[in-house]
Amino acid sequence: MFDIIDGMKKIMSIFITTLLACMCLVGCGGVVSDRDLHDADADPSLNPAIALVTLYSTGERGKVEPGLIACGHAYTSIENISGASIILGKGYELPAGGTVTIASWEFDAHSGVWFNIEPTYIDQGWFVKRKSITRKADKAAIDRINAYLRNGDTDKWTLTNNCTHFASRLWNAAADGERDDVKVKGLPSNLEKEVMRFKGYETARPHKSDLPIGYFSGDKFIEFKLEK
Amino acid sequence: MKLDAKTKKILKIAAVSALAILEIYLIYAAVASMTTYHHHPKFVSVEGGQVAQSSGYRSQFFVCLAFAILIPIGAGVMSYFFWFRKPKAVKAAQESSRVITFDSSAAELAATSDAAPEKPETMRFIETDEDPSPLHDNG
Repeated sequence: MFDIIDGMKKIMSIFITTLLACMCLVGCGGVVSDRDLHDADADPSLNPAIALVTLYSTGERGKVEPGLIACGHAYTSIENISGASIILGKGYELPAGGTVTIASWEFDAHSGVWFNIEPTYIDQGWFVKRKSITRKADKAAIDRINAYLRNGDTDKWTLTNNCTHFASRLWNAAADGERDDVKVKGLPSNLEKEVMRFKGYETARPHKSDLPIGYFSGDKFIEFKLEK
Repeated sequence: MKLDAKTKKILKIAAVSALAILEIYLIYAAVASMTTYHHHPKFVSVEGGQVAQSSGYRSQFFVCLAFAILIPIGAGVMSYFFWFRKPKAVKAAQESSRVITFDSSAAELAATSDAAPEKPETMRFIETDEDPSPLHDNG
């Protein structure tokens, strides 16, 4: 009987030690901001910037009930800083001065890329601790973003092609080579740490938008409104 | 590894307790998933009234519900076999434990033998205490 208790004690101690080691490795490590964002204005090889691309990520639970798995969310926003409209993806019109968020969601109506969902979530108190980095994008960068958005495989949400993968890849499409690239991680909490490695990252960067909410079914935009 | 009866009992209690805790968690998780699902904003399409809402927690609700139903059913089936069917089988095996076996070789030997025709022992019965049941001790 004592042998069994001793054995169970050993198993418990091994389990607790492993758990603590994993927590130290995964969760408790501090993030050092050791990366600089590329200054597009100081680079004469780039064309004039027409948009600001922002990568957001947060691992917070939001309004998820305790005891459930909550992974957070990652998304991007594009702000038009030019004097003319910009066409995004299969035909989403971003007017001058407008901002739109783009993310991959698992929604019952459509599992894939959605436009402008996040402002509603933020209005309702989600993603309040979101971390973000912003860079300027010229026309060539917007063209690369559009090529990514028009790719058939992009508009599909799966566990291995989730919001984090989508946001990272969209940012990397706009990023200038490897200088501003982020590693494509599996979870928003991992991407959040990656974002926090950049000096001058922001917390809770505001973005309001009254632009249409929806997704593309083929080339047709299906517009949605928040149910009151 | 041979476990004694007390250890087996402790392991059984631990297994049943773990199942009970899992069942309670699954019921909680199913309710919490549905609550979280309703916390997400709901959108309606401008044309056609199609509803769009983040559906991850609804899928989680159905998974939790399925397991929460499967565990008691599985436990019921297991207990039926272990606590009802097994004792019955053991009892039946005990009743028929004294088996009478006809030894045909002895009869053959007697028939072909040139031995004296004095009162031949043509049939011989052997009583054994062999248990014909393949069931093992449940402990």
